[in-house]
Amino acid sequence: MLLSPADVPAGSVLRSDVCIVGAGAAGITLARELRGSALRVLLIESGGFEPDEQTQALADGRSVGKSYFALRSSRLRYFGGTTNHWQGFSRPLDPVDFEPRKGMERSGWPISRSDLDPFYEQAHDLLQLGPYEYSPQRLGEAIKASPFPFDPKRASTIVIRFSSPPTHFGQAYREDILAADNVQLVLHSTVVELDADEAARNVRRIRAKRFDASEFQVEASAFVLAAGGLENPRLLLASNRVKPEGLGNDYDLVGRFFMEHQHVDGGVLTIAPGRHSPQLYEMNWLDSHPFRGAIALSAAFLRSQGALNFTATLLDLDAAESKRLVEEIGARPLEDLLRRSGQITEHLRFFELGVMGEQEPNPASRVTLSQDRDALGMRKIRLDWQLTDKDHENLRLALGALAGEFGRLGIGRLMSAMERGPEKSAPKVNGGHHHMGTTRMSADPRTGVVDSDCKVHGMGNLYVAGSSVFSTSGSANPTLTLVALALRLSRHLKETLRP
Amino acid sequence: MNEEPGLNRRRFMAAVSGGGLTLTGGLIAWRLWQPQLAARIRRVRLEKRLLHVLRERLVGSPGAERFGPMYLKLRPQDSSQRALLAPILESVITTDHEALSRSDEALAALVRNLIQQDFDAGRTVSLDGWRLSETEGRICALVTL
Repeated sequence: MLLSPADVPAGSVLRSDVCIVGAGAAGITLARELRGSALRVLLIESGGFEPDEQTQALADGRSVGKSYFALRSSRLRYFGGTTNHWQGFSRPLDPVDFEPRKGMERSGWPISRSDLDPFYEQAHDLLQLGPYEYSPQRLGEAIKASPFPFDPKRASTIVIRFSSPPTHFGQAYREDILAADNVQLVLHSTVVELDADEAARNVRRIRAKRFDASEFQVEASAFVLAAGGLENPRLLLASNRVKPEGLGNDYDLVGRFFMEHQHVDGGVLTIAPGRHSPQLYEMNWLDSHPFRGAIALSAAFLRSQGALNFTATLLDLDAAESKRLVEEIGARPLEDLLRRSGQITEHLRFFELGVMGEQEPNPASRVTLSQDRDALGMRKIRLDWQLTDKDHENLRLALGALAGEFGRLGIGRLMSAMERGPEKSAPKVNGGHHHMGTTRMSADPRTGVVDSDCKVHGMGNLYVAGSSVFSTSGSANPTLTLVALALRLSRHLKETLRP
Repeated sequence: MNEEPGLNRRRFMAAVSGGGLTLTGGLIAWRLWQPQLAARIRRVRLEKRLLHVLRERLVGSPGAERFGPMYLKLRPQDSSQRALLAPILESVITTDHEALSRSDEALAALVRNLIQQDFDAGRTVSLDGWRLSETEGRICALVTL
């Protein structure tokens, strides 16, 4: 049910069993899953049902590291959160992403892919992605197309599914939340502080503010931060009344390990379509649900090379763009060379290679608090996104390995943007609005903020949901995984909390 | 001159047998050398055939004209016809002992096979961003020398 401002007057104290901070993909999933349970749930959201400038401005902050999006626009602060403008790309993390990897520092999660598998399937339904199927062989058979026959020691084909149109949690699950007897929703209320007991072992209450300067509090048996990869650490760091370094921050880890997916223009891939059809790698439909294959480094390659995960999507070029690119990069002479040397007999097709590369967990890449304050008096975010040499070199390594496979199999040739022109020395890397790792999961409190149940180390009743708990980022868009983790957390809360 | 006939005969025999040995040695050497010579001749002929096959296909090619000079700039130590062709020739000879008797198209196929082997073994070069096989770079350079 929805609590109106009149239901929550200034100075009031609301009580629940579970208080969830943030009504985005993770928060709505949690609240929805706890419907019908014996637990009283309070879901508190900074914005309303519609976006508004004033609330959105609370997300503002300063980026001092690698060039990044304006923080104000990198998240949406209203019911449904950033699902209100996500693109629907979905894929589970690979099993290898959860493993400790030789040559990759701080790799490995305290849970395995099989721990998440049942929740992935459930998350698939929530994201309205259609049948839970990611096998390129089986999907290929369904559309009479084949994956490229890569050497499994080097490369593989993966599948990306699309929520289409992208499921906006705020619209899709609003009625579920409002109709739930045991779920209360409070809008236009921003949590500004977690008030812990003297030993900083338990959160006693949270403090929420509204733009009319009124405040109220919520007491609960358990609190879940589900406010996103920037706001979760912000809240923990800002809650420094008992401990100056903030909550859950005994080892100075909160806010560190900020990870993004490295989005890079990988270059141009030429394909001789008669020999190896790229059909699977273009947009296809399974029972009206879109999907496409993409090219990845194989798990064997990642393990043997200590490489970071990597996927490349073949992006169709329209005729004009194709013509411009072909002229610009000298693709016609290449086609001529391949034809005259008898390697092709047909016209080549050209695809841009959209690369998404994993970023290694890096403590220097971090979220801290600036001295500037927002309209509610809360210190703003200072984001210092940093990439390492390994992050850059991995992109080259991956593109080199794929170029070798394309040539070996006679698929085509790769023009790597990173080996040409100005990109050669400094590839232009963008993020994807994927905020991960800032409250990372680890079995050891010295290397992570939350444990395998997403509970903050050293605290009895504080949990974190969302991609901030990712130990590593893999090369899959994070939404499906964060929803799966929220489903898993909801089960944990149901099992451990006794009203 | 008064020489003993026996001595003369011995000398004569020694001379004859020595000459025979020399002749035999020469024959043996000839026998041993002849296949090497034949192999060398075949190699030279194959080299010419390969050059002909590659040139016939690639002379005037915009691809060769674009990538050939780039390859030579990248690998100046390979800037002679012999140096460029040597690894290709070796591979063709190793792959097919009867390569010389093959058709032009069959020789071209052997080169294509080598290109795939290059990619498999990581023998690649980056020319203006394009990742090409060493052999592709070499054959472009060959026709632009």
